[in-house]
Amino acid sequence: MMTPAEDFLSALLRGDRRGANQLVDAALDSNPDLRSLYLDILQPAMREVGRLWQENGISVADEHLATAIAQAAMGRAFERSYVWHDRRTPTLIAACAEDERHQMGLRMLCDLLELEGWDTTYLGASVPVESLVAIVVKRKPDVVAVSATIAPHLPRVRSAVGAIRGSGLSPMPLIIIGGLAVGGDEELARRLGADLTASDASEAVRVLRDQFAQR
Amino acid sequence: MRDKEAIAVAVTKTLYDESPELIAKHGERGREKTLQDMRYNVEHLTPAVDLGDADMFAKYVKWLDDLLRARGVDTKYTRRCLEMVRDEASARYDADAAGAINDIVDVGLGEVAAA
Repeated sequence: MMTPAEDFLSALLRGDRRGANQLVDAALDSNPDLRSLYLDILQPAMREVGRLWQENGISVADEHLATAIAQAAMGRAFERSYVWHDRRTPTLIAACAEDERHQMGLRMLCDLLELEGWDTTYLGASVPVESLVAIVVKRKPDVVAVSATIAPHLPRVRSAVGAIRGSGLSPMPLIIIGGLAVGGDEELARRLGADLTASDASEAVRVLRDQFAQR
Repeated sequence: MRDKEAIAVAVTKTLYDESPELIAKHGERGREKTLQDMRYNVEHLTPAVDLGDADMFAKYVKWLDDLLRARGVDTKYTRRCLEMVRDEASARYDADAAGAINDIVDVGLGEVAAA
């Protein structure tokens, strides 16, 4: 008997978008918690996709197809789960570091915060520093989240954090960084200039919830 | 890190000079992929040296060796490339910086045992 994550992985590897969506629907029917769907089904399936690519079990095209299907499934799941409400605070802008293309974790963070009433602005993959600073200055969010999956992008995380801090915004947004390259390492996060870090989207929600509960 | 492209090119050239069997096995496409891999090696070494984080580079080396072995590249070539990246990079810096580069690459090499 396969786990829901294994079933979902199997649909991704078959390139079966319809099957993946049906599994998402069934999972939400039995447990409407989007966090469980993301963290217990989609995330392990996508990590396995990455591992299979590393082991030469699937091609780059297979990996990209799996990612596209998983992202479409996330969109469907989020729209099924989201309930419109009046409260739209705090605010957060989320961006992958320049050149970073792994964006699903950051999108999970935004979706989960939206369900909690946050107003998130999700910028996705590879956001140039000047562009990020410009939108941060314009929108003045409470939090900026920057993500990097591979270590060579850490200097770009540091550049982004430094540029936001140098923007003169007042009050300065809280800056949280994450992604596999950071791995929730608080010391590394401090050295890169960030206020906060978390090891995955679920922990990031907890960390941010705690920050704003204290205010 | 300085001269990243020069380091990648030099290591690729030396590897293929030392190991002509690689051309027979992987062809010219293999040489191009090796050059790209050497660029990645230098790109991964750079933040590890910058942040003084040997563990960061060690994790990469383990990941890289798993990836390359799955594609038919023996660990001995991965080790040799990393040794050459270390030597090419450290030759471009003063003793302190070169020492830091050597230490970090050596911790990485410890992740992939010699045959």
